[in-house]
Amino acid sequence: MSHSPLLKFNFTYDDRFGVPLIPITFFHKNGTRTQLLNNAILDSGAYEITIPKALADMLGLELRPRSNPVHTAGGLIEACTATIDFTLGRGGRFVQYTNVDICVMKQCPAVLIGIHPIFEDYTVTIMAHQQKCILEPKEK
Amino acid sequence: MVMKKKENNKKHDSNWVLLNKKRKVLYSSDSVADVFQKGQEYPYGKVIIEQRFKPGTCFF
Repeated sequence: MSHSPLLKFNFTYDDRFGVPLIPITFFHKNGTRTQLLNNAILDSGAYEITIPKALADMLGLELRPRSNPVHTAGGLIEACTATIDFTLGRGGRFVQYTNVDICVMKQCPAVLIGIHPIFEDYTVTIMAHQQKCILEPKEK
Repeated sequence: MVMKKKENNKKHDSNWVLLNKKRKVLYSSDSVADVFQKGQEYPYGKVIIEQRFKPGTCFF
C-alpha cells in the first residue's frame, strides 16, 4: 500500500445522518475512477474499509477468500478481501491511496471507512455536536 | 374537470442517488452498483453519488 502526501481535512456532514461522513472516490480495476461518493461512513469500529460486494463486482475487483472470519454486530458473516485504489477528499484536495486491502461483504449496508488505513494515518477528531470531523495527518 | 396528477414523492426514495451540482436527483436505485454505473455516463466531477439513510437509521 502507498499514498500521496497526506493532507489535513475538515469535513462537515449532514446532521440528519448522525454519523460522520467523508468523501471518497474509488477506482475501477482498469484504472478508471468512479464519481465521488460524498458520504462514506467514517467508522472506527470497522477494521478495514468495507464495501458491498455488488460495488466490488461493478469495479471489477478480484475477490480473495479471507484467512480470518468476520464478526459484525449481526454475527459471523461471509466476506472476502480485495485490493483497491481510492482517493480521499473533494474539491481538488485529494490524497491518493494505492493497493489498499479492503473487506467486501454481500450484506453491507454502507461504505464503511475503517481503521486501516485512514485511522492509522490520521488523528481523527469527530465533533458530533458540530457535525464535523477533522483528519490530521499523523507525524512520522 | 381535469384531475391534477399527484407528483410521486417516492420517485427518488431509493437508497442510492446520483446528484448533479445543484443536488438535483438524476438517478436513484437501491442498487449501489447501478448508481455507480450510471455515474460513469457523466464526465468526472459533474455528478456525485450519495447514500440516502432513512432518518433514525442506526449503524452498529
